[in-house]
Amino acid sequence: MNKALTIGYREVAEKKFVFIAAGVGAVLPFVLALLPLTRSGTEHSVVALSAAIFAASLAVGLAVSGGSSMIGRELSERRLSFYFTRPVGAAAIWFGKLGAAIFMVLIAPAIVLLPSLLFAGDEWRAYGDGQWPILGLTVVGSIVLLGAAHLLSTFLRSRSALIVIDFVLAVVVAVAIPLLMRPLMQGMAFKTIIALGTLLLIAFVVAVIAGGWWQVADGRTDRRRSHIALSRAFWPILGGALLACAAYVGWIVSPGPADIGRRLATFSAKEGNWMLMYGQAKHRGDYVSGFIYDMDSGKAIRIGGSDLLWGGSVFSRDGNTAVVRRPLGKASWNTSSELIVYPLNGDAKPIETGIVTKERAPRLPYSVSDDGRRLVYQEGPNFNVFDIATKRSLASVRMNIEAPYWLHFVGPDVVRFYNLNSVNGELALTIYELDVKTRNVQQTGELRTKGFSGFLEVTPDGSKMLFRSFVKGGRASEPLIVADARTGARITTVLHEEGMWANGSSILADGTLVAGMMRADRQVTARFIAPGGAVKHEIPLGIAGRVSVIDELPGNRVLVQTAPELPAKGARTVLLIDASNGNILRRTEGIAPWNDQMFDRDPRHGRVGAHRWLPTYTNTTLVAWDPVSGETRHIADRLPDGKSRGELLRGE
Amino acid sequence: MNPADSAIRIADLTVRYGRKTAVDGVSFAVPGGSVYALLGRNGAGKSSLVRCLVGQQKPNAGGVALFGEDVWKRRAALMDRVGVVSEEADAPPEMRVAALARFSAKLYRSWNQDAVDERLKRFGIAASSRYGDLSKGQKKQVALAMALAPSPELLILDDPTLGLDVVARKVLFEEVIAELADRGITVLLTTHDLGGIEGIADRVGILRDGRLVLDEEMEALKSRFRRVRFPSQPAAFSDATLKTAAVRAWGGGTEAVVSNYDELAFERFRSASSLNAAEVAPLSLEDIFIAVTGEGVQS
Amino acid sequence: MFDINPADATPIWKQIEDGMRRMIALGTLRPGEPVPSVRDLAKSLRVNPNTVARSYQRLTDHGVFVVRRGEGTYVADEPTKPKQSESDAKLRAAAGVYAGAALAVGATLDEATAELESNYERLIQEHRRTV
Repeated sequence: MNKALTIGYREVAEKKFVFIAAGVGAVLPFVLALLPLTRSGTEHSVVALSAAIFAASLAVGLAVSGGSSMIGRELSERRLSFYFTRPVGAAAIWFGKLGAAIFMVLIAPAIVLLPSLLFAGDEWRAYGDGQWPILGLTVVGSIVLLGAAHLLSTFLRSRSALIVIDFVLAVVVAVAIPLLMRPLMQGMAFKTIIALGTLLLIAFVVAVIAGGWWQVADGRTDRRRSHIALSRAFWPILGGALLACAAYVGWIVSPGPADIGRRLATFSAKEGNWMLMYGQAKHRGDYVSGFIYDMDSGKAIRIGGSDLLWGGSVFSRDGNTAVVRRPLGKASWNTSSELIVYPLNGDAKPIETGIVTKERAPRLPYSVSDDGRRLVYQEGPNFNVFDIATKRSLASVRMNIEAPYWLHFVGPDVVRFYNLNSVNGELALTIYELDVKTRNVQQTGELRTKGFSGFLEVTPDGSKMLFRSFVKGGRASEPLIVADARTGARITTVLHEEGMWANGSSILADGTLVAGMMRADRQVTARFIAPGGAVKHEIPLGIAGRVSVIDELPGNRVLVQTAPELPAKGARTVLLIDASNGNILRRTEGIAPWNDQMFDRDPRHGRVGAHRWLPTYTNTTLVAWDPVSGETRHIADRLPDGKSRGELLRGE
Repeated sequence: MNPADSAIRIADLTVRYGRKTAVDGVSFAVPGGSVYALLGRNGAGKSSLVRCLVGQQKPNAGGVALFGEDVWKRRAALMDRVGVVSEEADAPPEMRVAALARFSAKLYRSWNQDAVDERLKRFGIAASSRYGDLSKGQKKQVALAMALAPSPELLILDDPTLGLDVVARKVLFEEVIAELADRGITVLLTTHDLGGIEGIADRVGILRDGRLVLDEEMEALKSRFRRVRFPSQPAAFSDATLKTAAVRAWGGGTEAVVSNYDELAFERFRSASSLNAAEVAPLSLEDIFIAVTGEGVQS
Repeated sequence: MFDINPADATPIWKQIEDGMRRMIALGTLRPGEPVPSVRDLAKSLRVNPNTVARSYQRLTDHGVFVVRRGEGTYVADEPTKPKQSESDAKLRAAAGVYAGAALAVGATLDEATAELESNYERLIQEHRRTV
């Protein structure tokens, strides 16, 4: 240890001129600030900025020159004999030199920075906490640069053909790292990426330190032997770290549906028992994995995970096809993604459509036809209809709609679009239809009402729609409009009643409007309104703070949910109501069926076909729940800190 | 000589660089307290051998033991007992002599700074001068002072007279002899310049193309080599008792180098061959070197 | 003292031995006087002390020097001269070489003798001067 210090001290003393340069660099910013070139008042920032630049350049320069001259240059200039003929061990030589190089890289820039930190400290503070990470990055970067310079100088100066092997290994590592990070990127595991990146960086530094030590111990003054010794120690350590990371990444991307426990999101097909689920799994860091999951059989198809997966209708209404996005790079709003078609209920492989869209996903909808054979998607100003089996475009029409809010197929040959616009202070819902055969688009209708935005629901057969506009002033003023889904012609308008307002609403397949009505005293009823406007049933539901209509279920049944007003947490009650006679068939407490419908662009929500299970949250689990029989099937345990996306969105 | 007494023991040392063999199965020993001169022209393998000697090079075969311990494995500990003067191990040119002494002192178990100061004073070397500014001779004196200050048991001089004039060389050897006389250290020196070796070396080894072609006591070597000149042509040097080399014509007669000269045996040969008086002259070490290696000293 | 010629055929240890004997014969070194230490002689002659040590050992073995324990090495009180027959043999051998050399260069006996005399004188003078 003492000998290492002796050697280190000597190495530093040999480079005294660096400290003189650092001293000059410390003074120079002040000189610059005094020059007539700088505007008065900006002296502090000139000092701070120029000092930062000088310090950074000095750090980089010292890292490169120090790293390459520690051993590399001395070897080729045969100066290491000076140490080797003295009673100093390899460790003392290596750590003495290494310590000296690191010392220079850290202290000289610090000398440059110190006066400016004292004088223009306010400028540094003004950057907020931003300067500490930058400082840390510069320090780390300099050390890494030092290590890299040492490696390179040894490899190059040995004049040995072995450098080819090192080059190949470097390429392998350079390729392996992004490959390793890619699945993590696609799963939004950014914290994990940073952690692994840090680990690899540490491994690199450790490998260089260990490599240098072995190099001096075994290679001594022979250039070629030195190179071999360094490679023999360095690559296995780095490679070992990489393998460990690879194993860890393999572990991270391997959870099953039952492991998902945090940031859960679920969206079930309108027909059939498949659902989309994704979230973070136990012990897998922040990696989001996703599955298409059959609640009936438990079969799961792994699809990677992120919020990016859909921005469209995902499931065909016949329940046999799912269409999701696969991000091609980092999972973020801005990445390119490809549409992948997954046939369910069979053994067919996923189909890569080759449809790659580049723009911000939530604004780019797509929809799949009810039979799962056709896709419509937006590409810039165009809308394309795509045949999945033949992978051919059937129609491409230009529609200057920025992003239609909703769209769906009406039969395989027609696509209907619904667009919202403000016109003369009114809200206009404009309806278009695209005929695939003629490739013709025309506006088929329009609905005008007051408001700044609205919520649309269409009956499964595409004939009627429910539109609820949002008006300034809150819930009390929202009219519910039932209209013709193609022409926009009004059929019924339900306005608010004094002392009551519609809190959640839905339109059933037969055109019946279901609205949750709330009185000022928090008495809640479910009101069923016939297409003509007559009230069919008014069912009291008790006292609640919120009421919402969850789903229409096959057999003319409706699920209605009541809950305490936020922010109170309390038991939710879910009621299964027979729409034909208004009877409450079942009352279940403490569960929350939930569909993340944020990006579902298909406004036809009713379930009228074969359907049994709903994804449902209890306090501790995610289950599949059969509302009719009351049966539940366990899917996954929620982690203690695992709020579902729904709860996060609802602010619970 | 008891093998355990050897300060240096080299056994079957082999060093190869690719296809070239620089040192080929060399074995010899340097007894404690003696001076061994290893001679050879440049490229004969001396530098590789010296690097193995100080534990800087790992031989392809064989090994070097200093004081009975393997030098590759125990280099750092052994160097506490060894002083090395070699151009390769020279101090950096910008280093001041005083700093060099201070630095070196911290690395050894014992260090005699007074001896260093005395030597510097004697040779008029200022402690504040930079190593690179010194003359060649002064550099060697400083290096020698550094090598001897820790009172080593073994002194290795690698081509110490390189670049020195006759006076500087003489002065350097005087210092070594003084150290020898005062403390009885063992000395190994390698050189291709034979001037001044005869006075200082107890034993001589000659390295040629990586092989040790001679390993002998200096006096024995000198006593068995003679140049013999016959004014008239002898019948032939056919007597098998005389080992001859470099037989050539000389001024109407013959000249030969005899490598196993013995006064009595030669007289018997001369009278038996009925030859007239011959001129018998000793050979300088340089001439012996030429005769043994069959080539010139200067490369 | 005397000088050593490393290039000479005579081994250095022999030259040292002969030089010592010469000094004793000439009276430069007297019986009972201390002889120069091995170290000092090695330094002044600039030769390997081992070589000096070897000569001293031979001189001690032949009774020319004597080692007094705790005090050092001295010229013996009665330094034994080499045996007559030994000296004769040496003289004869050296004379044979010299005669041969003289004949080889074609010198007459007188010339050879004159050369011998002048060298003998010169050597004595030199030794007297260097003491």
